[in-house]
Amino acid sequence: LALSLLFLSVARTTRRCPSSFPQLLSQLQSQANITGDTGSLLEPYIRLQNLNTPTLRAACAEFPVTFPSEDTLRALSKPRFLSTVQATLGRVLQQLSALAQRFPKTRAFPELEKTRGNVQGIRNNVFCIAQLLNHSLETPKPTQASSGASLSTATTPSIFQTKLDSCRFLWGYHGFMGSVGKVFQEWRDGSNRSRR
Amino acid sequence: LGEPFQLIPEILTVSIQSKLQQVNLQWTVPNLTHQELKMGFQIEISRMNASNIIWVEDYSTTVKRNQVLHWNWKSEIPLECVTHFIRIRAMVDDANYPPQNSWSNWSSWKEVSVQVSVAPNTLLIFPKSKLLEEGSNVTICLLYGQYLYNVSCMLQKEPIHGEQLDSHVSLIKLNNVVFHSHSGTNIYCQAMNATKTPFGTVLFVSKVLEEPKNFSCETQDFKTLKCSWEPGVDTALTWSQQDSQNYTLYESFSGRSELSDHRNSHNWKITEESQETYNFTLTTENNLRKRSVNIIFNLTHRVHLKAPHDVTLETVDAKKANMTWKMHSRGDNYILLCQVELQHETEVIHECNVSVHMSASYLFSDLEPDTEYKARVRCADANHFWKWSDWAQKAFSTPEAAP
Amino acid sequence: TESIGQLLEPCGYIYPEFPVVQRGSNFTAICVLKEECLQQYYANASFIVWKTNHVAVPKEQVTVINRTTSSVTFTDMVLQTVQLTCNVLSFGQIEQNVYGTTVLSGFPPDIPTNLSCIVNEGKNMLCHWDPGRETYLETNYTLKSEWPTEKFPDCHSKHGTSCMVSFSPIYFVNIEVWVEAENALGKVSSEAINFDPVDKVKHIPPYNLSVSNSEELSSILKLTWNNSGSLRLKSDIQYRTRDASTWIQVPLEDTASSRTSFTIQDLKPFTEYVFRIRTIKEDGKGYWSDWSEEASGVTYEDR
Repeated sequence: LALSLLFLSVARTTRRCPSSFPQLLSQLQSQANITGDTGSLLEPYIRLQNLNTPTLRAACAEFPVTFPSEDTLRALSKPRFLSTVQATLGRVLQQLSALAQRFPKTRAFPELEKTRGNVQGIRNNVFCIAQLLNHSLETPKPTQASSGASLSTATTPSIFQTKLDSCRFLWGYHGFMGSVGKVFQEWRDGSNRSRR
Repeated sequence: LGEPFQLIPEILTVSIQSKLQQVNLQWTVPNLTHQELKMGFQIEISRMNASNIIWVEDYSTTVKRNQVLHWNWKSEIPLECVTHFIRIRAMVDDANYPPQNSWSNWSSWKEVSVQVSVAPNTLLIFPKSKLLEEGSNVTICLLYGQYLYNVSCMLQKEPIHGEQLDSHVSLIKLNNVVFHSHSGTNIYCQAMNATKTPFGTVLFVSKVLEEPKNFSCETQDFKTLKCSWEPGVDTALTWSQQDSQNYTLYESFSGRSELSDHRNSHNWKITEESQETYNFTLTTENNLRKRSVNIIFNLTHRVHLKAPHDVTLETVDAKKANMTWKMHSRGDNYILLCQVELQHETEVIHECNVSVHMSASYLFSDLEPDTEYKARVRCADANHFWKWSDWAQKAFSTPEAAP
Repeated sequence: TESIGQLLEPCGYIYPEFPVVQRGSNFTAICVLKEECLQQYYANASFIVWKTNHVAVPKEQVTVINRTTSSVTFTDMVLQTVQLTCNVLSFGQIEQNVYGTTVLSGFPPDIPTNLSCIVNEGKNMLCHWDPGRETYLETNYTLKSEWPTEKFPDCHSKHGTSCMVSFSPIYFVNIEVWVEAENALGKVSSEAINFDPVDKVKHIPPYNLSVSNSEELSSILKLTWNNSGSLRLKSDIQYRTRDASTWIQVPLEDTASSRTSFTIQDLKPFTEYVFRIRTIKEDGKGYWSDWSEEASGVTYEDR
């Protein structure tokens, strides 16, 4: 069912966040698993854009748009990690919105809409877990390893180039979500050990 | 008397619209002796060098003194890939001027080229993207940078081959292109020694816009005209290349024009009570084509009545029953044709047509006592039949026969 | 009425103009005549005749407040709608209508209770609630849903007991949902419920259920099927012989982990069995799916 998600405005934070750290961690990990799976967006995109040939697939994976790497994320403190995830996913949402603009109403791309909802959901949970840990989510300076998730827009690229660049962006995005999932897994393992 | 004074056209500007692959020519005829003269012009275009003429066209027009004249030409080869040259000459063809039997001298050749620099080890493909209709032809051109060799190209998963134009340009001609997907057909090339691969372009092949079929309008209440049609395939393409085609209704007597609310229908408000005849043109348009269909009709010939209402069934006795019903109609002087049906266990056992006014009745006789029936009725305009209304129906049972 | 040519201006007004009254309570309305009409009618407020549904109101309920104003009081309003009219006896005898209004009576909305939501897989979330007593008034029920960081579009209920939201459920994010009820007599809010939509799913039934027997073992049949979605689901399997009417239940603990196949044992040889399966989230949260389509198979002959 095509996702018809209308986010009217950022609500006053009157609504309660879950108060359970393990529940939020479990939710974040489930979300990372879903969004880390290339079947949720990259593969449908490759099929839809007819990039499903060995040459074009290789080109898509060749220069993935740079996202903060797993090592970079793992090296960050909890507050810096949460802020980095929140900021990076903010940029991801912008790119996904720009991509969605290229599809007329009658040619909707349901997986893209579903992903936007899931990314919005992850940012909500990151907000809640930061609140739970009393961390403020400040906008971090781009980590030295990445310029964040953005597509090159030096000169107006051709549509063929944009197709490939979007593919590389999605490739990077899924990788990033996989890394985020692993770091959250380590948080869970850490909190399980400390509870024993 | 000698040869009349030669009027040689002078090229002012030559410009290029790359996206359209179009050359725009502007010229004037200096020293025009008359206020205006009918003149013929001949324009030549050559490719790659002045001697390789590929296009000659004659163009006649009336020229006023100091007038700037315009002409354009579409190249099937992207203008980024090949240099062209253009020149023009003229001949007066006017009764008020001594007859001429030869063209003027040619203007000087003007070069037509797009400044494109190709870095070594790279390849440029033109056009960068192209919107075209299924069945048309297109020429793709490749510009090779230095040290590049063994170039191979694919159209999706199929290899395609080009013809070498010169050492650094080759052309790939695709005829009768086929719709592949609304996300476009990817054409991409690889080469030995290339810095990055692949180089590519996208052809956005649009389905051919179809003429709307079964376009018709009808009214139920003389307040609104419900127009409907079969739109045919949606020609929308992604990557902002082409939205779905739009549909516009234009009525010539009222001069009103409205963009339709839906792909296959539009409700047209009847504002002029007195207007009886309607002349509608339904036009559909996308970025590549425009199609129209037209209908002319009299409003009273397009009445699709609402179903009868207030249907009542009164059993007179064990063998007779009287059905009455009412119709939404414009007035009592309107004669309606109604079709009455009687069903017993889903089988139609009686059917007839009656002419009635706004309220009517019908007597069923020869019925079986103590039996269940279903009566139904529908109506239409008697003077100009267009469509039956929906059925209105009522079930009833006859009483047992008196002992 | 005041004059012919212009718009017909009434000669007086009833206040309140659109009265909505709580059922069983008292209600007073006043009718104020215009000064210029008093000469025209050769009358004043004491000549006012109040009527409800065209029946005169007893004089004991009427009070003349001053030359232009008369009031009428009703106790224990029970009728849902009453046509209340203010009429004046002009020249002391000709009854003329001055103004009329409709008095509605009902109840303020109760606080909605028993709010619950279900996510039918592949569709949007549907929430139900108990609106409480009938209000006899036009009452709007609005389902509100929010995350701490986002506000979703309101869902306006058609019949006041349920609403299907316009947005797709996002799993693994707790959402807060509540119902607001409002009519002319008041506005209330239900308790908010806070849940993860993934725990409220009713999955599409398992499909492609197939049964296969085993040549080696005539007492077993193997089932294979597909589950919908990507969540881990536990199963509920039932079977019966072709002509039996009651289903035999496979112990739920045997199918508590996520699976897409199961072998039924201790069956009678060379007998046809019918099977059906349904699923729910592995941790038991949410709703059982409907039963799958039945599938049958025959155990192998005994050697």
